[in-house]
Amino acid sequence: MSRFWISLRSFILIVSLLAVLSGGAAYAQSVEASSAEDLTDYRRTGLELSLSGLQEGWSVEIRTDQHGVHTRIPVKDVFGLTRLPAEAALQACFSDGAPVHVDTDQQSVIGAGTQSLRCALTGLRPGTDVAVQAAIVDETGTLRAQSSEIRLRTDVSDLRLTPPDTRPILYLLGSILISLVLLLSALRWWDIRRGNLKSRNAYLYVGPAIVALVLLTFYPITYGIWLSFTDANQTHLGQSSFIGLENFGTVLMSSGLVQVGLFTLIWTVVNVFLHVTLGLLLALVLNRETLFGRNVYRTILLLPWAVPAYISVLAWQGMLQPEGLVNQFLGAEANFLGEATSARISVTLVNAWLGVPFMMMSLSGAMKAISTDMFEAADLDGVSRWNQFRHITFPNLKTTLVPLSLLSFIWTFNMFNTIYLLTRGGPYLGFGQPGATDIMVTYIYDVAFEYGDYGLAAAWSVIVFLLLVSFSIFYVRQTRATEAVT
Amino acid sequence: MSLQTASHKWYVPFEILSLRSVLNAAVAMHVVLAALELIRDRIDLAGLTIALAAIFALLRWLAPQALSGSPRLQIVRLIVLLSIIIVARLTLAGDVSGYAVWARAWSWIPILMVLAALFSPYTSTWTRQPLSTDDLAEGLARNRRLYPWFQRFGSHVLLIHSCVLVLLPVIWIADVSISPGNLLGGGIGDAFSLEHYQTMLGGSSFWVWTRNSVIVAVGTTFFGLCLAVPSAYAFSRFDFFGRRSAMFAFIVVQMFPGAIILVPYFLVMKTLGLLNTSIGLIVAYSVTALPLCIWMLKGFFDAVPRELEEAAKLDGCSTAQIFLRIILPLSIPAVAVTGIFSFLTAWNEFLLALVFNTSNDQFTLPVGLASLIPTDGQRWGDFAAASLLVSIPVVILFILFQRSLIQGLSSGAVKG
Amino acid sequence: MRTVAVLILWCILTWALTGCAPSEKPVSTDDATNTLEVWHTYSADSLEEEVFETSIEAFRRQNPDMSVEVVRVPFSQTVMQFITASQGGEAPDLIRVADSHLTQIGVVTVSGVPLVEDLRPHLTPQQLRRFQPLTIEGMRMDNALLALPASQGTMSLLYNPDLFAAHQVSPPRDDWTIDDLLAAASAFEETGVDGLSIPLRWSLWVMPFLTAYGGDLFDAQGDPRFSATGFADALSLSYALEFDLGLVSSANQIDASKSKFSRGQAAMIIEGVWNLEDYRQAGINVRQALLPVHPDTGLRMRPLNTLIGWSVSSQSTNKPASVDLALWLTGADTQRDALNRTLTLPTDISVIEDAESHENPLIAGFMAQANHTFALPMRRGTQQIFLVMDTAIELLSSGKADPETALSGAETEMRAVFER
Repeated sequence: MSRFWISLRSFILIVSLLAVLSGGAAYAQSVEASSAEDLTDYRRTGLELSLSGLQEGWSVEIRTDQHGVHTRIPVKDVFGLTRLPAEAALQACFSDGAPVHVDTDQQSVIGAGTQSLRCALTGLRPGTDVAVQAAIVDETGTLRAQSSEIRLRTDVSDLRLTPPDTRPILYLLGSILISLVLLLSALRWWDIRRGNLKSRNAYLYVGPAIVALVLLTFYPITYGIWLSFTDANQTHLGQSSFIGLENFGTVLMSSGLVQVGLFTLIWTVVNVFLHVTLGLLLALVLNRETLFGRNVYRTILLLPWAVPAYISVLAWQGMLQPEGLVNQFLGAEANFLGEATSARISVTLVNAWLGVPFMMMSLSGAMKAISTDMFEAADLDGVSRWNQFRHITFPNLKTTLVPLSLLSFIWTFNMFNTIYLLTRGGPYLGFGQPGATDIMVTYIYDVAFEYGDYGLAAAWSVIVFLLLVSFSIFYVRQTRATEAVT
Repeated sequence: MSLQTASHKWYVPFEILSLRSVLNAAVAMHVVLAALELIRDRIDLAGLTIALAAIFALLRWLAPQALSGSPRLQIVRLIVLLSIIIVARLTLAGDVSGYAVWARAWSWIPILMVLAALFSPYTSTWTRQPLSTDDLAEGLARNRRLYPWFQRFGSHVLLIHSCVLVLLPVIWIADVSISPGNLLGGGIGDAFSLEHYQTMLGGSSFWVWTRNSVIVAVGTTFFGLCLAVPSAYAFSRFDFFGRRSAMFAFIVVQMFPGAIILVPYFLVMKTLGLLNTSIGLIVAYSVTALPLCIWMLKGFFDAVPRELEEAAKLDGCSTAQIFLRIILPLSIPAVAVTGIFSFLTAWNEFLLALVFNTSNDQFTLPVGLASLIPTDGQRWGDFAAASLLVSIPVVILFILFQRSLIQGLSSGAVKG
Repeated sequence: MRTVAVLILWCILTWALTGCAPSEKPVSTDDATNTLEVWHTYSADSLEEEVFETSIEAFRRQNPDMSVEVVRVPFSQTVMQFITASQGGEAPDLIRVADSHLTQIGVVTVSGVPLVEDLRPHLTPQQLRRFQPLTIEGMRMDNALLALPASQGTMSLLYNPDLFAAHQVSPPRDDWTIDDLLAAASAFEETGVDGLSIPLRWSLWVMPFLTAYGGDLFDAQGDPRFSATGFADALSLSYALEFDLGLVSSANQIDASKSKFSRGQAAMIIEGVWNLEDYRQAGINVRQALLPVHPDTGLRMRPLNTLIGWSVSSQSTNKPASVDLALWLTGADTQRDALNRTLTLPTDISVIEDAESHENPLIAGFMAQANHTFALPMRRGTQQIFLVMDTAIELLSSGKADPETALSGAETEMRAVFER
């Protein structure tokens, strides 16, 4: 008998133990939901769950009235998994006070022993009440426990990039306009008082152009110059601070300065030279009125000017490829744009191709203006063509050539498209160095948009600006000394 | 033995006159050819070509004197023989291609001309001393007859070479545009298909871009001229305070590199309410084109005689009347030329058109063309077709205005 | 002197008048609008654009209260256009960006606010589960989720079976080694057909070789490890391929290779899925095989995988609606449509399953290749790797450096770029 009771007692013990162990699962799964205010934010609300009786293979589900199933966190063996800091996870969740574990797919998982789970519920409508309910679900999808539905609230506070206030600019533009009008009137009064009555209406004629020019360009250029004294950088736009001449120091100390400066200079001088000489040559030839097919030639030769530059440059880029038309014609496989020297020559020649027609056109106009009497007289005297050109044509063209070459110089110096579309400044022959065909403006573009260093790019721009201004002043002075230009 | 007599200076036979120019050109050309041979990786041929260039230079230096039967003539003959051997070697080495034919033509023609000069009766007469008056008269007459032909021939050679260089990309684009598929490749004219033109002209986008471009370009022409013409007139006619600095200021503005000032420029446009409008672009482009327009127009106005104005002034015309009634009508061709400059500026500009417009209804052609380029690779065929279509209106414009263009430019041209 | 005086006078006048401007007050932007502006970067009048428009139309039908304004932006100008417009306060609500764009846009802040929204607060975990986890990770930078991935793109080995049959060369197989590839390429040497046509002056095509010889280009922290063993051998090989073996042309543009392949003048090419349509139009037969494995390391050649997705601007006045539209545009239906009509590789798990067993073997093949790819770390300046690698290749091919020096130089430079 006693044996029976002992057996019975042990049986009851085992059964109850089993009941505690397995039946705990049957009875003791529970989930309670409450709000976690500290996790509430824009489109987010905080939820805190106290859990018990989780088993591996099951999952914790959070449902909302906005999405249905909002979150499903599997219960898994978390041994060997890392806890990902909340700010790095896709969803900020904490299990038992520490950030939840994540599996190899970056998905949150919790261990079977987890007692509390705090999650920021994301993706909710801002500033609304949301009904939330948590549940424990087993592998077959059967509901094992469910919390009561609670109502939580999301914030409306949103970090929004506010558009810049344009009113200061409006006032600036207004004041530019007013002060220009005042200034021009003052100048007019000044001129009249000086007794220059004949020109008293001059400011009326020049006024509109000056106003349009200053209105549109004063602010951008002033801004550009100001930028060069700041540490403006794409990582903190609108929060740049004044750093004095540091950017200029960086530019002058930069190892690329000599290379870029030198190539810019060579590029500009060679291009202007080619533009002028070839333009002059073609203009001279086309100047002969008896030439058969003159108009056809001229129309064709003007094409590079008429075709948009970015199209013809892209065409040249295709033609200069190793399998391109140029190589097909030569029967070669040269990589014109791939080697430093040939790339430099190629970009220069393509730019010459682009610029000659304008020069030819303007010069042939100027050439027409030279009286033909002089040439006839020279012909009678047996003066050679070359000497005619040297002593008649060229001196007469000088007044045209000076401003034209100056414009050509400025345009070529700042010619961005040709190089950018042909080589993007490459090929690159040193790490962190400008490319072999980089000129100052293409390098500025890279500094600004590839490196995001606006302050530095602005400093480069100011240097280009100063170089060009001083060159122009020098050039105009120099040529004015010999003849009356302007 | 001297050819330095006055008659020999006075009269040089046509063969030798022309030979000088041809040899000059040939030397230059062979330096280029040698460079091309280097590109072709034919160092041997490059060497031969350079040797040929040197020979031609030598001939050019020896040419007039050496043909006079002295020992030098023997040297010349030897050199010519040598050059023939080299050219023959070059000719045999070259494959039959457009390039080879062109390059060898440049070698053979000077040699043939040297031979012609060597064996021409006129040369031998000329080298004979002294020249009779009859010989002189006949030779000079012959020179007058032949030399213009030679000059004309030379001009055509130069122009044809330039035209080929100019047309190459155009032909290439045209070929890509009529090749089926959107990949590059194939020889010139090996396949034909109008599918790209159908794609471009059939879609609605292209027409929208064209419409916008026309509006913007015409608007720029008009508005730009409204700004430029009066101020250019003032710069030309009035002597007011700050005239020089103002002229200079117009050009100074162009010297600041554009990349960095895009954002403030954008803000100015936004403040003025000109984003996503044609007017915004028109105003911006007019200002861009201002310096050139003013400088050009000032040159034209300078060339209009002042006497006209003084006469009108005596008749009691005001300055404004003089400007509108006398100066402006006189300079219509010049204004037309300047207008074309503005038109082209607006027609071709890309960056501002891209940044200031974020509405597809406002895209201009350059931006539209850029938006044809897909995420990966390039729609070459469609792009080429569109490119040609973009260029055609401008070319037509040029042909139409060609006369006025030249007239306009000739009536004063650009003067600082 | 008087000129200077006048100028100073004028400047004082201007600034004095500007000083009269009332102190600025931020413009209130609280009112959420029902208009969404979407910038897409599809090529004009292309099939991709049409598929996109269809999807937008469907969205409009489902959300009649929302109006969607669609703007096409040139793909190459996305970054500059977006940054400029954002600074000017004219940013769109939603923009289509590539992961490489995000490494540039993602670092930009204006007045302390990033230009694009971190999407994590906007999306529920269940919404994110739909995507292949790697594609979500590929859109993350500094922990933030900057875009929803809509498509991925990768390169694979394409070949022309007719050429292989005509010259009795056995066609590529998925278990090929690099040696097999090179052997097949040289088998075409005497035939007048290029065996393999790829632009080896362009680092994008050298990178697969690098990964087969030396493994990952970046370590787990996203730092470059170009000077690790193996990479130098890969670089020497690519140099030899171009100069000694002459197996590939020295083009630095893919166009030349593409046109050769499309004209049946090249037997193999390493190219993206996006060109299949062009080859089909050119009328050549195209098959695909996985890029080969390295015989010794056993590593497979892995090309770069690029992602394109949708970002929400932090300037958007209706972010919830923008996010909804982004979800729509990256939705399974939209992706399936894009897969079937434009051969765009998906990021949605269910669509990926479709693609892997697609009736078009090329799509299935590319999807398989997508599992053997690498992604660039999402860090500021990552896109500079192409410049850095191109420079290394250039130094090597111009004889200025040996492979080891070139690569260690590249590594140093890449670290400097990251630290800048």
